[in-house]
Amino acid sequence: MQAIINRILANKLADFKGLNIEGTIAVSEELLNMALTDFLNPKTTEIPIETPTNTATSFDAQELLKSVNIEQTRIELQPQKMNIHIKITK
Amino acid sequence: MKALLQQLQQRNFQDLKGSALTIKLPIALDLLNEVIRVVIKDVDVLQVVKITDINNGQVTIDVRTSIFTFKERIITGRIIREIDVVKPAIQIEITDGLGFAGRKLVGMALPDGMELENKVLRISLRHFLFDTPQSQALLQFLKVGELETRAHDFLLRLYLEH
Repeated sequence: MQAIINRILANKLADFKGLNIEGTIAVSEELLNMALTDFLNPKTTEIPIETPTNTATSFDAQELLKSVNIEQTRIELQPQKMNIHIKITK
Repeated sequence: MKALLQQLQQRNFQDLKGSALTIKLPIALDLLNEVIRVVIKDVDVLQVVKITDINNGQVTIDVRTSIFTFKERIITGRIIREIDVVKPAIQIEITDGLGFAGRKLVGMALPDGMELENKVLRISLRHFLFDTPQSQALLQFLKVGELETRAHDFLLRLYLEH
């Protein structure tokens, strides 16, 4: 499958012309804090997880995002869902 | 980012509860035939399996094997629009070109992830499309799946809800 994945990534998803993903992704407060920690300290140790050996190709999600049009994205704040408290010291 | 994905998976995506996504994924015929070619390359008996035509829910498949009594067949089938969400799979009902004995022969030669039972060929999405641990975990949230044929591609519609 490696060759197929390479082809898909090399031609920037042209094989999926017409791709459409629409919906809502609800994100918990805890996840937002994890994401923030990850953003501020990208060297965070990976959490060991018991999964079958992953032989799939890893790819640069940022690069892939450049291949698509992100037309409408907005963030809704809901009670207990998204509160960002930040403290920066030096 | 990888650590976050692992954490999400470890917590069975509880952090994303309340999410709903509709995915429309066009799959070009050329790409699908390339995938089939790769999948069957280790199956000695199957020399060629190629989808040559798709039209109005019907598919035509050119099959060539090394079996003396089954050198070449043109098989036609009907796409079953609804995707089984319990065992996510694309299903094609064979309508012509493959009798009882032929189905038995082809059934035995099929690679992992594909099975032919009675007249229905099942192609596992878990095996061929969602083959990473993360995407397999997401499949548990699949509520509705459909597949339709268009002029030059298949359109896979998936609705996921958590």
